[in-house]
Amino acid sequence: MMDVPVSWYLILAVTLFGIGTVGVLTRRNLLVVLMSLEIMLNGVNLAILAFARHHGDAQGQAAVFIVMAVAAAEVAVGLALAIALFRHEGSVDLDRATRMKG
Amino acid sequence: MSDLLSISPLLVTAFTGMLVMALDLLAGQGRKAFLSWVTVAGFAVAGILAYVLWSGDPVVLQRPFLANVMLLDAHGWFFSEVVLLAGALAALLAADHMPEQGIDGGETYALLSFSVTGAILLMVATDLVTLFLGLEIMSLALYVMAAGKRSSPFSAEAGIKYFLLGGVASAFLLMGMAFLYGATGKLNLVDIARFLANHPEGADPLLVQGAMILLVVAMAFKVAAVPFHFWTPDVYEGAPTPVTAFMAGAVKAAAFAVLARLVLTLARAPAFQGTAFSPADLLLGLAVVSMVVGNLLGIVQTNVKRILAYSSIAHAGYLLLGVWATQASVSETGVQTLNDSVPFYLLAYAVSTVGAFGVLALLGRSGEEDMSLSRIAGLGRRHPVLGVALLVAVLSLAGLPPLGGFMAKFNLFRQVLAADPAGNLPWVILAVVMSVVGLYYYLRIVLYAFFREPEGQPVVAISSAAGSVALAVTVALALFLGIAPAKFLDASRMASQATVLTGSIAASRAGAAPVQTATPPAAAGIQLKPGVQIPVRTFNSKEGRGNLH
Repeated sequence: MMDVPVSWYLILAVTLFGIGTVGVLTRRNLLVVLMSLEIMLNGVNLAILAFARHHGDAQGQAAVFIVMAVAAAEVAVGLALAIALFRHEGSVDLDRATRMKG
Repeated sequence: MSDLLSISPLLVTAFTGMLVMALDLLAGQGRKAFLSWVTVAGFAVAGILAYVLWSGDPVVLQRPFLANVMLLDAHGWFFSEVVLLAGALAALLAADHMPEQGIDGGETYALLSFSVTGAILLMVATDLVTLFLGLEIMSLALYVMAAGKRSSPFSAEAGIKYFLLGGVASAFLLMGMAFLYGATGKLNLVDIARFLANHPEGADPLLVQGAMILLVVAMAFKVAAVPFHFWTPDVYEGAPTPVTAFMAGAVKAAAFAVLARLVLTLARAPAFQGTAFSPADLLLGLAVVSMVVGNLLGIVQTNVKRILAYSSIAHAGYLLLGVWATQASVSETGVQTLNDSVPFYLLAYAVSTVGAFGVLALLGRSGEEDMSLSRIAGLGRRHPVLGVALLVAVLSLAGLPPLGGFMAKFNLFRQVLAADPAGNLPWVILAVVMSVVGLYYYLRIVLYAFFREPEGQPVVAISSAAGSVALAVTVALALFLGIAPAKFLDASRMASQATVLTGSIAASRAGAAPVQTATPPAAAGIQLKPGVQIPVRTFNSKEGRGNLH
């Protein structure tokens, strides 16, 4: 079986992270932004897992579970905030959330 | 059992949050103000425990699963006290402000307790995963608190902006941690620092440098340093005022504690020696632009909360200058540790900024919250006590004697200069000039409060016993820190000497917990293939702003 070198995983992870970052910065729909945030975190998870395998170390795999749990909690808060925004503005478009400027 | 006692400040704050949630169910509608006193009592107990248990030599935890993830020392102690103090003051300010604003619920106090728990965990953590957990516990509670005023679209907007930027910062922090893990195969900060020092060739310099950039960027978000500050004015303005006070006072202290510990511990790595890039340059750059932008943009603001937000950005700049100008450790030769004056500065800043936001929290009536400068006109004549509290807080922020802010700034600039008298002189001069520029908007607040007549409705204050106690504490502390700072400066020195994690601490800890010596021998760092470039995505302010507006 061919062994995939760790740098390939890392390139994929950083690419995912970059896609997520661009998504957070450019998309206007709060739900899509939340998804982009998840892609960033999944990029991180992939990187940690690849490194954990490379080092033969179980700590990294445990860390990924914790990151996943925290990400789920974060999304719960994010969705609650989306509901709060929807109640006030009637949409989850971030362009509506621009009352304060300067 | 003794381990449980050692970490009891954390347990007490977490338990306070749960107790408040339970009592919230029992208390009737409109009778939630006593929960703020419960919270304060919990924080006071936690503060005393932290003083008794953590202020001396580093506590040796027996169980390996605890000893590996946290270090209870003077660093954790001092910053925990700052966070607990700011949290208790915010709880007192919320007691009458929240019902006035139509937020009648105990959840603010429960969230405050959890946020404080997270902040303390963040500051005592030596393990990257624990550090991340602490940061998230602190932040998630804060996002909800910022959006806590459900009737206000501004509050929801503040919560969303804080959440999105905080989420991005967390992701950057995690990616930085992943890179560090990849370079060293370890998650414990002490082990990482030791690995980097002992195996200069083992860790890929590209990964280590990328990790450093990502970590600094993530923490720059949290401390509100330019160019990662753009969320700050909006969030400070939209969040309920006691929550803003907590954010400005406690979260900044926690974020700076972690920033200093992470960056200064890792900056000793050989990966940074002899390269064009160094973490110090990054800190200095952030410091300079934060001082300049924070003070200049503060001038054009007309909303008091926004002025204080820009003041917070400017103070982040001075503090970054302090973190940048490290000094020699007294306990260990050849080790650079955090500047003595930084913890003291954070304490003085927390007291002053909570005082300033505290006065604002006691103004306003029946849910409307307009904090434009003209609205505080005539405050000094109408409510002299509040006026004096505002005066003391704002002058302390401006750094005028004989207040705590002056002593903090004076010590900071003096010690930055002492670190390298010739090389640091331009930066200290810039900081002093920018402080003078900042004086303009601080004095503008004073001018409006004392020398302007109100145009329309005169300003009305909420009568609040708890809030008055909080303001009295801030005024007394601001004066005390300015007049008799010796004890606090000593404590600050102890804290800063413990900030940078060094090998000797690790050695004494490893001796106490023999279980953790069973590290896998195959600890060779990762070497990327030559020619493989890792694109490190740094955050560019222009892109970032596009998200918010």
